Amino acid sequence: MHAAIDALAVSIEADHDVRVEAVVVGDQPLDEASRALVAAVREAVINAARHADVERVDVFVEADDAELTGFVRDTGCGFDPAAIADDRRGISESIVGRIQRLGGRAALASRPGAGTEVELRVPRRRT
Amino acid sequence: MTVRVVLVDDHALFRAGVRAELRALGRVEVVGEAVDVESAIATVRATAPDVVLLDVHLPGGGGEQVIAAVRDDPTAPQFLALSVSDSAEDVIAVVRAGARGYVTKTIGAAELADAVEHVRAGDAVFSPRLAGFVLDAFADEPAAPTDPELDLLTPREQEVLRLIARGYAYKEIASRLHLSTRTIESHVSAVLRKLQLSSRHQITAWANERRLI
Repeated sequence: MHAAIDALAVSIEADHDVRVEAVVVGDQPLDEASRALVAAVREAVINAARHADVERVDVFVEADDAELTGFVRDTGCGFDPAAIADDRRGISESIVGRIQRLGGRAALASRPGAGTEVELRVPRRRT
Repeated sequence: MTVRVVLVDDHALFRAGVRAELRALGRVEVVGEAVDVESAIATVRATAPDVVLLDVHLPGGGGEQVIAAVRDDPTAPQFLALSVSDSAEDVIAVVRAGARGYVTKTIGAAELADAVEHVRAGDAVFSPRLAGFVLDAFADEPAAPTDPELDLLTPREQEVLRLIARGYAYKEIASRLHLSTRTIESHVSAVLRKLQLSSRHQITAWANERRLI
């Protein structure tokens, strides 16, 4: 998962004029849960790169015994989540849906002028 | 009052860039430059700066050798490691030698000036990635640490580190946790102290496991 996060940071930096600072704590092999988390993180970072008007996006992913957590934060222009239709901004339904089907949740906090943070949590399946 | 800084890096272009950016901000004055371990020690002694911005990998040795040579001088400065490397091995080596902070070269000029001022005041500065390393090092704690009280990070320290890793500035963390910036800085200093002194065994084991050493 660590490698997948690093790879997405590099590929997004190549496509967008933004620096992606990724920090990964703990690691785990790619399975359904971590793939969904990585995909959602990717989506959130691309959103930030496209809309937030910032130089830097911070990504923090942590795997502990119970769950996988991901945070994607920018200090950009932010927006009022209530004022914009869900399908236009934030993380797309397909990604949120995938995370929810795995028993996880996604939350978005943003205020105009105060940046945006996406929080993603997926329970870790013990094998 | 401006902070007097010596800049140690073997790439002239990088030094020129940092110098120009810091001069434009006016809060930090570069009073000397050096390119390797030997010239760094001489320049630090000749100019007695407040803070040394130190690259981790230098011709003639590592940044930690510069710190070790001058840290007991009566005019010893504070050290802020500034490196392109974000490997845990490098971070831990200079922090253990006595650096008060570690930031990577992707940092912006204003953030760098903030970091220099923090370090001059004796506070510790972590970049998000360093906070991640520390969390990682302490995450899979072996069951029998030598001194649990000394070795383990408190829940509050872990909370602060997680927020740093998520990209929050100290000021933002303070307002989120309803604490003063001063308190946040003291949590970070406590983490740094623990990293330096008390968990050599754990960090070695952890780095070993990840084939870093």
